[in-house]
Amino acid sequence: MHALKLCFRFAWALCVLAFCLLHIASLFEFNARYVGGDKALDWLLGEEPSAELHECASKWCRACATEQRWNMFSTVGASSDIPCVVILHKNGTRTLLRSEQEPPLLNMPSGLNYITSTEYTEAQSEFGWNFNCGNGRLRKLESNVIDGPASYSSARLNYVRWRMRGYLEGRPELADDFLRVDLVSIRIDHPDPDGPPRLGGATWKMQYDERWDSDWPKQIKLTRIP
Amino acid sequence: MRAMLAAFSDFWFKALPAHPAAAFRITLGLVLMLDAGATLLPNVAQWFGPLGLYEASDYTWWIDRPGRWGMFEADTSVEVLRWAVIGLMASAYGLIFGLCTRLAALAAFVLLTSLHHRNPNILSAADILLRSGLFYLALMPSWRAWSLDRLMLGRLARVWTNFGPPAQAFSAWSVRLAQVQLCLLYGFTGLEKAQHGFDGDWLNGSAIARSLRFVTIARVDWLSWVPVRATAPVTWLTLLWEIAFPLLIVWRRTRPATLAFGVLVHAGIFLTMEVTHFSFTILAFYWLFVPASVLMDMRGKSQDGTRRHYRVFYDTMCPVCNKARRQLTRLDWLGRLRFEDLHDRSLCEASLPGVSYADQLRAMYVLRPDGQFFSGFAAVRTLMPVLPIFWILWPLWMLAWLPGFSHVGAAVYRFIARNRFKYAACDSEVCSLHLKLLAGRELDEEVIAQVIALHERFRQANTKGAAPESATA
Repeated sequence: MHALKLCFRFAWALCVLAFCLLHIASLFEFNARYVGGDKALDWLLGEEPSAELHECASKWCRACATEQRWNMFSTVGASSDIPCVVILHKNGTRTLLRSEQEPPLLNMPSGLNYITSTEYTEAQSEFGWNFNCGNGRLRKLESNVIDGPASYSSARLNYVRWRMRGYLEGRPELADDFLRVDLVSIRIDHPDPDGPPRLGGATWKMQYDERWDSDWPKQIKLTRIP
Repeated sequence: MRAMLAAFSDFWFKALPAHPAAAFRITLGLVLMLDAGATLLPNVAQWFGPLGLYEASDYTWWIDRPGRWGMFEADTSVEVLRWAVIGLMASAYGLIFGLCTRLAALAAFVLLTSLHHRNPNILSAADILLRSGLFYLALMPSWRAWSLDRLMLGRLARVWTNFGPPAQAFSAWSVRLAQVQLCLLYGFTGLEKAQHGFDGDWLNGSAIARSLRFVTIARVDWLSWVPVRATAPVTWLTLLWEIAFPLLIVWRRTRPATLAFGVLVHAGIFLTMEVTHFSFTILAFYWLFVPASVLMDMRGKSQDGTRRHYRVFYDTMCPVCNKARRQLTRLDWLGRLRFEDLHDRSLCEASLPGVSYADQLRAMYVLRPDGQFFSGFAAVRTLMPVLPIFWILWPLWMLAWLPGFSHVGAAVYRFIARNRFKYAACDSEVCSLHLKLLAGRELDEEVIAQVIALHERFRQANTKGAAPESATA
């Protein structure tokens, strides 16, 4: 009985040790690839075995829910990109649905949430500062939405639809005046070396097309300019 | 070879006290409760619902990647997800109070991972670190200390058997995994920062200045005026600390300073930047490096329930020391300190072996319950975990461990100790004589003999004065 107990304890210890070493090796492989480990492994094992090893390590990390490349703030950057939904009305004016991450525009009249944009880049190009507190999740989502080249994506489509729902809530008749809706990325340059943040530019990312979205807030036909 | 194998086996399977794991568990539970309650529960429809920001069916390809898993399908309703978040909060309470601890940790890990995989767009490094922490917590028997589970099991054991409560220790391997995770996190983060070379923000010294100007993350603009040159040394020091963290934490001598620096870094990040709960989650891992004896000292009780006190040996003849003693007594809100007279030689020789009378006349000594003793500034620093004022003024506590600050602190202590005669106002002749003997002199055998003679005279004078009846008789 005592011998059986000892055998069991020894076997358990071996299993635990194997698990620990496998886990650490997977974590190490997953992270080391991004700091030159991929080249070292390719040289050591060959490209295909190295790729297979990476796939195995990734599977293990995903199963343990510990897959993460630890590179927070490895590049800090000199600007922020923020999504903005631009509504073009039939009369030629624009409404900008600004992100809550976006700092307040210093020259904007108080109490006005949405502005028409002919003067946007000129008079209102100086930004103030938000008190950034507790908005981390939406900031992450908006960064992911706006990241990447101009193209359609379901993440962008969902985001535009969500902003439009909020804008049209209680007043869906406003949508009858829409000509087209676009998603634009606004670049805000951080102060360098001092002064307030400034508008750095705007980049078009996607045109919203309600044909692709049965959940669009209101059934209207938007102009689709390719 | 045998020694190496023994050390390897010791590293993974040695019995560790459960108190650091319990502190880790409670901290993660608090973070989870706040995160789930404040950011997930009020926004379930927004993050996960069909009318929200995410269409789960569009991400089937991501969820279906080998190894990835989750409890929720693309068509799982918002109501079910809302109950899942409530279940997550219930697990968090289980972790905080140590109720059904193992089950709570497993449930928290499974639920949080499933919710994360339902909408990965809202996740940050803090979320991944939290669920990693829950993974390691599910492997740890953290219920063995500071938990309702242990309390209840102990009572059951006493009622149904003659055994005492469950042991407050467990095999080290699960804690080691979490410790290694933290080392890998810092090490690889540092390497990724450095690999951009001098074109990158870190090696050119501008990273912290840029972070303080990051308009959508930096909390306020108060520090955006700080010039790059002023923050460059801190940037380089932080980078060096991150890369060297795995080595610094392994070596016992550098471990306290390494952890103290990390506490200050993450507190600074939290105060200046909106990075969700990252600072609190990563600081939870720090508990796993704090010796159990320190945690027990803060709690004030040993594993067997006996009270733990720090014994402070000081010069009762010195007015500066007496004043310090009165200050410490005022700050000792939890009654953790016991004061001893260094002139009681038999007591001191028994309690502080190898410490001479001269050593004790030069500096205050503190004896910890684990038998270690410290003198001078190190003694002051040792008292900080058991004085609640330093839990509030924790930056001072952390700074006291940093190289540079600790050297300055030690130099200030030595200066005051050597020159206390100049700052003391004596109220008795023996006090004045005592300080005159010590002031500015090398404490050699002759001086010690004079101090002993002075105290013997004082003791005899006290005895005669205290016994007038016997004198007249």
